Amino acid sequence: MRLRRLDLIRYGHFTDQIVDFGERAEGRRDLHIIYGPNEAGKTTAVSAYLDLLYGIRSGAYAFLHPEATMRIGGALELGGRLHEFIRIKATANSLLDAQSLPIAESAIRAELGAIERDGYCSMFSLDDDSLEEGGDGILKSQGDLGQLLFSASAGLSELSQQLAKVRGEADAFYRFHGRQTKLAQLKERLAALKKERDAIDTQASHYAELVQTRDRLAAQHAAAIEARGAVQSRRDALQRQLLALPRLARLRALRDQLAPLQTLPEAPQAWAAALPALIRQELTLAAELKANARRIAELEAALAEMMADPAALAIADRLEGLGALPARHATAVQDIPKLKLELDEIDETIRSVLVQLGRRAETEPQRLLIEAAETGRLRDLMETRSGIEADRQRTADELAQAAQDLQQAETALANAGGSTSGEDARIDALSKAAAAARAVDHISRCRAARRLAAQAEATLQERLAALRPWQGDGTALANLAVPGEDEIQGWQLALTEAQRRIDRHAGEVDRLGAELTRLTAARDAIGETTGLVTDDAAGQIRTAREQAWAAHRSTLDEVSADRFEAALRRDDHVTDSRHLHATALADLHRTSQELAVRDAECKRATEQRDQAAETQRSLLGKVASAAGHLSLPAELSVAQLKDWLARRNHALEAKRLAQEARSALDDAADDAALAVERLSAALTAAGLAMPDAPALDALLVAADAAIGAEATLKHLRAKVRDGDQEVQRRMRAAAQAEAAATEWDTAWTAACADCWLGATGQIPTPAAARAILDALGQLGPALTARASLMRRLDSMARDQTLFAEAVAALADPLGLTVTDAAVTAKAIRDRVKAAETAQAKRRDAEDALAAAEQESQALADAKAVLADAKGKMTALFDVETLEEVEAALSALARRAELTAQRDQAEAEILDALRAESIGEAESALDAMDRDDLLREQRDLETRFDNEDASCQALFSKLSNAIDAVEAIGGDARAAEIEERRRTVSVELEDEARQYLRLRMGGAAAEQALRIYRDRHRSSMMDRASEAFAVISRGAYARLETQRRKDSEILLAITAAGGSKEAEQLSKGTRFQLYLALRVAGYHEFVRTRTPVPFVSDDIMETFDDFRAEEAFRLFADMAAVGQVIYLTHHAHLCDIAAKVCPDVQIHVFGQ
Amino acid sequence: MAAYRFVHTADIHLDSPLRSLALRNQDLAELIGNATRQAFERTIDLCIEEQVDALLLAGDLYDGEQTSMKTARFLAGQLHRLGQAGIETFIIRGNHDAASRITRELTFPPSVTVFKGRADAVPAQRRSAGVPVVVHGLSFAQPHAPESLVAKYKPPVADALNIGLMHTSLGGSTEHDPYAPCSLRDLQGAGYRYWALGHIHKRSVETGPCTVVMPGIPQGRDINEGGAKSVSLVTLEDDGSVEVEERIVSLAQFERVTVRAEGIDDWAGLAAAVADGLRRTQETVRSDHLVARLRLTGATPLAWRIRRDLDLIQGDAEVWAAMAGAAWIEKVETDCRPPQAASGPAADPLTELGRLIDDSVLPSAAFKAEALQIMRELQGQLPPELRRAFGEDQASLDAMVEALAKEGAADVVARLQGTTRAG
Repeated sequence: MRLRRLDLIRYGHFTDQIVDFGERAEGRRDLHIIYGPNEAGKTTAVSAYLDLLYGIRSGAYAFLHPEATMRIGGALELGGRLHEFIRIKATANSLLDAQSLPIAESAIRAELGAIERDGYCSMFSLDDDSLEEGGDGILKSQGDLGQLLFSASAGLSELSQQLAKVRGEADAFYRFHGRQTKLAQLKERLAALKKERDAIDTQASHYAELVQTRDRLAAQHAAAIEARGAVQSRRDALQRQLLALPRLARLRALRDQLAPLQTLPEAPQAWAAALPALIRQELTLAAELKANARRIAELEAALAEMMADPAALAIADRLEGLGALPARHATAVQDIPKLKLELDEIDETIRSVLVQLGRRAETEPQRLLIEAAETGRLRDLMETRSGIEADRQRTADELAQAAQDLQQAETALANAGGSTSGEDARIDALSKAAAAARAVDHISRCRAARRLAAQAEATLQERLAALRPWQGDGTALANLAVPGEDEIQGWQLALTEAQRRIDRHAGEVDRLGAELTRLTAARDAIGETTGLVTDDAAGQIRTAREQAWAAHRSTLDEVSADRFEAALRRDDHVTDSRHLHATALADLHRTSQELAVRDAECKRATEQRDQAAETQRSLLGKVASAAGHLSLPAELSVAQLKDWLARRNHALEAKRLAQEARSALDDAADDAALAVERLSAALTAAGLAMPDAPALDALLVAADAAIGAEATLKHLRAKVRDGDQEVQRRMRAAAQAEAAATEWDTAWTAACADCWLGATGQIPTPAAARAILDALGQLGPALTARASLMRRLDSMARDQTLFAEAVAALADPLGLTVTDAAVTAKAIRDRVKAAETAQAKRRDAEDALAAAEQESQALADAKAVLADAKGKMTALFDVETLEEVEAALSALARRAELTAQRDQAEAEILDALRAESIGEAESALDAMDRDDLLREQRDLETRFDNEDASCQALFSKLSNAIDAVEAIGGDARAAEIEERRRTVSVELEDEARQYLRLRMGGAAAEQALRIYRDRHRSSMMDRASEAFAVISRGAYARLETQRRKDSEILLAITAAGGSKEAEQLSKGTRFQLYLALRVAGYHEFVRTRTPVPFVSDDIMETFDDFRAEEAFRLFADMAAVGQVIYLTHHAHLCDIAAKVCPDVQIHVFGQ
Repeated sequence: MAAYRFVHTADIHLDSPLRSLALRNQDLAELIGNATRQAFERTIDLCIEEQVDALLLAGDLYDGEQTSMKTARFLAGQLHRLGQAGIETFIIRGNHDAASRITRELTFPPSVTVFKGRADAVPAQRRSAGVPVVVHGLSFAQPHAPESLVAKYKPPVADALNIGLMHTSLGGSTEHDPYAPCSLRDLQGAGYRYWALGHIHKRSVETGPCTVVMPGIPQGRDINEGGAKSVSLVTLEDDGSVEVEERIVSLAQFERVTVRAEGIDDWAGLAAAVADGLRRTQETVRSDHLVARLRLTGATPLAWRIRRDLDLIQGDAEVWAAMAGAAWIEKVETDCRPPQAASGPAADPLTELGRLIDDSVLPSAAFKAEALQIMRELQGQLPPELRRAFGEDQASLDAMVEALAKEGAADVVARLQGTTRAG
């Protein structure tokens, strides 16, 4: 996968920011630097890239654009083809294609395989922190190769810490011979809980014993209680008999007292209570009868003396029939004189009004009143009169003023020399031409264009001069044939590559040369120290032996035999020696073989170096030829040539600017000439004199003067037109006012003629009419008041006559003579009232008499009832009076009391002796001896105390036994402890399970890491070794490994050949080692998979320039196989990168 | 119409402790401690409130190895309460009771009938006059009863409602040893109106001419006895019709809560899914308390992180539970996996390492030997009661070692994954 372009459409604080990484050119390194100051958004861009791949994460970068609108675009090269993608924030379908249609995540993820976002971050990105942690990780891994290779590939720096932590957690639960482990604690708790439970719990067997004891004691206790009860009941019987003996004596005394009372008859129960009331009633009745007889005699005497007046009572009703007549008579006597005075005053008012109206002689003032409708019509007309008159005056005044204004305007127009007719269209045309001429603005345009042209020309000359030794003008420069930018870039790349190859192969030649020397020396040394000969030499000796044998066989003489013997011995010696030193011989073989291999390698390296040198020479030749073609010195470097071509482009740019400025100047002059021509034509057409100098400025002055004069005349003509219109309007208004006045006069005359006002033939003025109407206003009310007074006087006179007649009719039956009706009326009323009072008193006396007679009868009845009751009582006891009855009843009560006491005594004796009858009891008691009884009682007391003590002792024992059984109780305490114990056990099991998982998981991981190591060692170690040498700038030559127990340890080999273990490396070196391992991890990934962009964030802040250079060299190597993006805010790193890798592309952020 | 009403339960296992990690929480331990006792008290309360005629206990009042008289005394006390309320109790002994000594020592109030080793038929007292009711029962004195007992029961009494009490494993349950096995058809053929069974801890009700009820344990004791647990309130009308009502008496209810994390790719979303799963479960809970075992499943990019941070998820779930109230988290487990079961070349070294473990390390004899060694060493240190927790025999031990190693390897890889990559 490769990132071609990243579009930050709406993301973080970015809006429509695009980072274009461009197409990858064949043979070029895909190294990019994103440079920008802090806060420019480099980290945001990295996050956007990951969000594009994996989906936008919530929250983080939504500070400018809300999440719903966030949008990232980008172009990715996947499987060799370019794809456009858009990523939005959504719960589903958040990946879109170029047409904004949803597309499956697999479109991207297919190429990423199983790598999740976090995995991407750790594998393909690097920053300060991870570098630091990586260095620490190396230390903690103690150089374990498996862990190192794995953590470098996965980008996981805390691998060893995690493995150690896993082990630590497991150990915390259980460790062989460990004492303070969690397991030990839990086991202790289990044991403690068991102990606690056993202490409080009761087992079934013990329970059975307790129950048995309890039941036995219960039986014994019951028996003791029974025995004690028997003693107690005999003791109680004795006690009762002792108490019964004195009661018998008392019983007999009571019987003696009762004997004399037995003869009395029994009386009803109620008598005793009723008797005192009867005695009291007998006395009261006698007194009341006597008093009532006296009262009846008194009432009868009083009634006989009372008198009556029947005549007066007969007229009482008619006197009431007079009603309101007496009152009305009295009112009339008072009011009649006052009413007559009021009548006189009203008559005087009417007379005065008639005088005002000039109708003194009028006999029927009623006739003069005018109807209300007529009055209203007259008053309306009077009110409108003044308004109509004012309108007529105002309109006449305004007409005069308008006529005067018109005359003034006409005079002013005549004075200005104008007539009222027509305007001048030619002046309009002139005005438009003048405006167009101004709009051209040719003067300032000319000035600016001239200045630009001069500047551009100067720049051109300067830049041409900078092209020396080449000479010529701009045109010649433009026509030059120059090599293309790509071509030059190609030369430059090829030259760098060639130089690199020369350097590398030369170094290789040197190294191999030294190796050859060393190996030769080693081989020789083996030969020297052991007397061994090489295989070649041994072969030669064997050949010599065979030759000698062949020679000897053909001749078979002494000499040949000697020779053969010598050759044989030499061969034997060599063979023996080689057998003797088989190990050394093996070394010798290996050394020789290695020597041969190294020699071949050395030759190959030399060839390659020479080839590279040849390529370099050929390239330099091409550059020189190109320079010569441009009349430039042949020894020019590619960079200088590139620079000269850049300057040529600058000069060509200046030439283009000069050309543009000259064109602008010409345009301005053309526009000015056209304006003069048009304005002159307009002036001539308007009939105006042309100025002496036909310059544009002068022409404009003349045109302005003509346009100004025409504007003044136009204003005056408008004023005359307005004045004329005003006069016409005022004349119309005056005529309307006059017509309204005439109409009013007609209406007034008609109104007056309709009533007596106009009857005389002379119409009154409005003022006279108003006075008449006001006077008539008083006349109406006066006439009405007079009529009312006359009616009241008539009515009063009628009332007086009726009253006099009525009084005369009443006086007659009483024999009274009428003098004054009112006085007589009073005498009649007094007489009737006296008669009524006497009548009432008589009726009261009659009522009282009837009541007294009734009471007399009631008292007689009561006396009879009393006599009956008294008779019954006296008869029973055979006595006379109620007092004697009272004494007999008292004796009866005494007998009842004694009987009750006797019965109680008998009952007590029966109870004490538990006997059936009193006779039986009396004879039993008579047979007892008190002293015997007392003796027996004392014996029993002692026996009872003994029995009781025995009961109490048994009861105490039984209680304890019951308590012991009850103490077991049904409480849940034991169960609670058991439950806690179970919980601890469950916890222990769970923790044990967790322990086993950790231990087994840890063991599995460690074994897997060993397999991983063996699988990746060969491919990764070479690359890491090489990278480590580069980044350490040769301080370390390579990396090696060493087996140690079942693990394998990484060793760093210094330039001097010493080896160091991981923990012996300095902190900085460990960073370098980690970086080298990461580089190897990346190459390892690319070896089996398509590459993925590698993103690194400013890891070189602490590097010096040399180290940074080497780091970029590693990145450049990675960039040869995949895309590498480095983010930094250090400008100097850009320069270093460009120096190490000319292919680097720098993208600037935040500008 | 008059009816005979009774409560039927079995497998009380009084004072048998609950088995859950959730009880490490002291608050919960106080709330649902002695749950079997409390559930039994509630059963007694139910009898008294409903004014039933009788309580039927079809065996296994307590665990066999139990010898605490406190447990027996508690039982007697509760049955005494019933007697005072005029309610009879009928008890048969189950396999656990047969082994328990406290049964023999215990004296019950007169309202209790304990059936002996010989089949018996006892007329029941009724609150309301009506058709006579006869209760049949048979206890066994031995903890094992390998053969059917149905034929030993007395024949049904004519013109009466016959109820049978039996402790039986029916057709054979996988979770229990066979105990008086018999078939449903045998029971239905006995001529009783109602069979009150016991022994199997899961409730089942069979209606028809003969109603056969296995009431299940009234209080689940661990996650394998999950769900709402209850007793049966039975109304037996004089015309022979039967109504069986289930009444919850359990204090705590164990539930497995499975949360599908499929497709969830952020931690907040996961927390929401967990809360949702718990809420849904809690809505169905009929006991007072929910004790949940949470399991996360499905393919999600968070799979590794979930495995590594199970403790955080448990913390979140516990916070949810504390706010919801009456809910508790026993344990959190995961079998989530990453979305693309990496099938292509091993691009990611961690994936490669995981595959090395699965393909090369775990199956290797060397590793197996090492894992077994680790297991044996620990087993030697465990208290006796737990030695067999990891396998009864060699086969189950091997299976356990294999499972633990596989899980453990996944845990360790998750931890490696989770270090620098967690950001």
